[in-house]
Amino acid sequence: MSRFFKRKQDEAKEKKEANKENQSTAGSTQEDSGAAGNRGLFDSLDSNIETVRSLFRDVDILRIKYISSENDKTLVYGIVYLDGMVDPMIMNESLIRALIKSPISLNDEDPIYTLMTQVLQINEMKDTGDIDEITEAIAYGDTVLFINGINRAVILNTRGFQARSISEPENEKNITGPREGFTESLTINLTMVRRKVLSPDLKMKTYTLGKRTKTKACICYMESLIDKQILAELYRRLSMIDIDAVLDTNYITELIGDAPWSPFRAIGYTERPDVVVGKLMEGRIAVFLDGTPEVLTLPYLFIENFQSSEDYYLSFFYTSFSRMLRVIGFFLTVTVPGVYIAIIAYHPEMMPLQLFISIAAERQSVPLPAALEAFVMVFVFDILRETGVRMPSNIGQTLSIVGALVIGQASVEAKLIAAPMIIIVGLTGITSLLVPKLNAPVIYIRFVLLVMATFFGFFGIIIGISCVLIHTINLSSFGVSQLGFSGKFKFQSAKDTVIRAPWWEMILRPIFAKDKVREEKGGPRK
Amino acid sequence: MTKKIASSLLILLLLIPLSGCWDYRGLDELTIVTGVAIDKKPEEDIYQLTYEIVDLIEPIKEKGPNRKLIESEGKTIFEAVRNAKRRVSNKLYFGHSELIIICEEIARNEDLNVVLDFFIRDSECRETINVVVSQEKTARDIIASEGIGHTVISNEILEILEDDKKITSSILSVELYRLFNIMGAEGKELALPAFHIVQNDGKPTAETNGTAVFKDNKLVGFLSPEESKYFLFIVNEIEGGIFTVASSGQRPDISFEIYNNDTNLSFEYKDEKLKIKIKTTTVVFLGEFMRQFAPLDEKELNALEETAEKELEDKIRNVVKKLQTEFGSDIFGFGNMIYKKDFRLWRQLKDNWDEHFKSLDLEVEADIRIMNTATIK
Repeated sequence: MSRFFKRKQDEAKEKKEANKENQSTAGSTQEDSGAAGNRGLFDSLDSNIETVRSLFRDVDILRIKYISSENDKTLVYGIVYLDGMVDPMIMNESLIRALIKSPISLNDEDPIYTLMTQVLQINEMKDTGDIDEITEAIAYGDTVLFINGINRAVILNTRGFQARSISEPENEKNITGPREGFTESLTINLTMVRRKVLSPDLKMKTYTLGKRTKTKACICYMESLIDKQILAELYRRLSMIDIDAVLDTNYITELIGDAPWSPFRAIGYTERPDVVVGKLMEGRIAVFLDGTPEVLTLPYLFIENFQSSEDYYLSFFYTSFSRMLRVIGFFLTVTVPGVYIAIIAYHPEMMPLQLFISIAAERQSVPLPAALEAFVMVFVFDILRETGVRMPSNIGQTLSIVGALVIGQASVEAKLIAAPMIIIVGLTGITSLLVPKLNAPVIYIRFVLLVMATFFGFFGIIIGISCVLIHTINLSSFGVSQLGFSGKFKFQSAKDTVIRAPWWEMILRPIFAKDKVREEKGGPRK
Repeated sequence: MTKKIASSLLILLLLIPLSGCWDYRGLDELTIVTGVAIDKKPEEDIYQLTYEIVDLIEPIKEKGPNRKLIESEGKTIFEAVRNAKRRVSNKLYFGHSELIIICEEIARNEDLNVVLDFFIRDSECRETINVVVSQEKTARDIIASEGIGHTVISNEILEILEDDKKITSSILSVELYRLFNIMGAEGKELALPAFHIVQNDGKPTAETNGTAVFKDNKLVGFLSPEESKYFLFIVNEIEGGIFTVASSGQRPDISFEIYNNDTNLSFEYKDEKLKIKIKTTTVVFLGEFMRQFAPLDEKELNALEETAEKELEDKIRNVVKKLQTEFGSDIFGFGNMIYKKDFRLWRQLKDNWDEHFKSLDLEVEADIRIMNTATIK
């Protein structure tokens, strides 16, 4: 045995003793709480197995297997795992086979240490005496190895459950650029990000959320870029989460968002690793959650509602235009029905005569007043949209026929709805699809503006828009103003907003990043 | 929190009185008036108004909007307007009116100020309504005629008025607010476009026919379309149009298309004698030369320019002369120019401005440049 190895052994011994002390203190506190009797492990294999079995009683996929060594028949191992969550190949080849063939005997000085260093052919393992840690590991797909006569157990990484393969996210499709999307597995998701950022500056801190589900979360950030205060604030808010289960990141968004009653988001989300890396590089923090492909990014600026990863993969000429379209689309979808009603009902003098005559002629002998008509049609459109989302895709044709023919054409021909209203609703509907991230606020703002227009005309619209503006200017995300409205116009801060400036022009990171200068030298263009 | 909500609701309640006097009006509750003709029953002293409305009942998809006429009477204009409601289901809506036609009789005998008062006061009417004078017996004749391009005659007349400046330059269109401005201005008299009815393709059709000249807001006479053109030259409102010149003999045989024109007015007051100087600088194209097709050389062009200059000077002089002698009405705004440039002098002249206008000397200097002839030697 080499000298180096001896030293390691000594260190391990010290560690073990330290662990024992910890364990005893931990044990005492647990006894005080009186949760499940003695939380430490016994010397006896049977009692240990029995403890686990009683914790997992009525969990029928719990598998317990006894193995004894060829070398020493008195040495009995107990393996505990959950069926279906482990990789049978690893179990058979690296664990069971290795244990049977192992030369260890109980009389060895430190059998656990020898097992871990010389016998088990598994990459990740840990010895523990804490029953909570053991149950959690079993639940997560690890295998726990108990040894007869030793009051410690080894947690082995044999996780091998099936995960959905990496595919392009349905909701964030791109024409060009990377096509991979996150899956439901936290580890796979983290590797996807890690593969893109090879620097050790990328930190990944795990966190457990959900009182009962104990879901694993991971907080990622570039240490040199982020503002530590934002990170601290995130931890503070996460620590206050007290909920049974977090099945999707939206649980977190709702629980820790800045203005919970605002329809606008305070935290961004994406299913694309390239987007997450892009956000990390701007000094944002990403929160991964096991079990969902949606990853949170924060702080979230208002303009991110209009941004898409593709903006950076296509020519800036093209994407600047599509950015503008999205911003215009947002304003249109919010205001068009209200403005139409305001003009029709209060300010007909604002229309050119020809348009006025056409609309007035269409409105002759239509039963509903224009405002009521607008409410009905906007509502009908929302019904159609919601149906389209929830409906199985193989009956999609029915919806288009009912939507387009019955509600559109037939109602106009039967003089139930005026034709301009159909055009207005169509425009509203199409433009609302331009900015899917603002779907929720759009519905409410549109409705409020419509009500205001119905009762006060343009005057009401101006008041309504002012209220929305005041609200959005007040929005913040983790202490960062979402609109970044300072009353002062700086060209640099407008370079990734309504337009997407070329990369050599965007030399600064967003305002909240610690290290603001993105390109010091500016590349060949400077 | 409840206090906050309550107070914001109270603030929102303020909106109701703040929104002023307006109301929700469905488009199907309006009768869209596009034009009004004002006549008067002479023996009874009652105004007769004829409104042209857009007919929304007939399907307009194939043929475009149709029109109808509504007539009403009243002792005042406003009363007549309201009386129309006695025979129409929907209230008359003047927000899109484009035209007011006044019959010659009212224009001659009544102060325009009085007649048009309702239209400038009414909140619905636009101040950009065009006002024209009918040379027919009634104003109704004009509004009852059929348009060629549009069924709605008011649209047709409006477009004629708007395009005239650039195409024919025979009238000066006047919108309601400018009309009141001119009537209120010192040293300036009103001139409105005049319309008459001609037979076109066997149907009565409205056509512009020069300018109606007013004095003290009352009609005193008309200028022909040709004379109106030189009136436009003087007031610097020429933006296009054709200017014909006789190169030799009496009959005009050259058509110049006016490209642009700039007129400068100035005055001189010496020994109690007022002299108005008119200087025009005009760029024209030679658009038609009915004597020869052969390209012209520079000498010939120069000669042509000179002839044209002389002709223009003469015509301008004639128009001013006509107004000095026949109507005594300063529609050019010479007095207004003095008022603006030399107020002291204006105070002196103001009281006998009519006399001064009639006796003023004129110095006309025309500068015409032919920019191209469309043929090259």
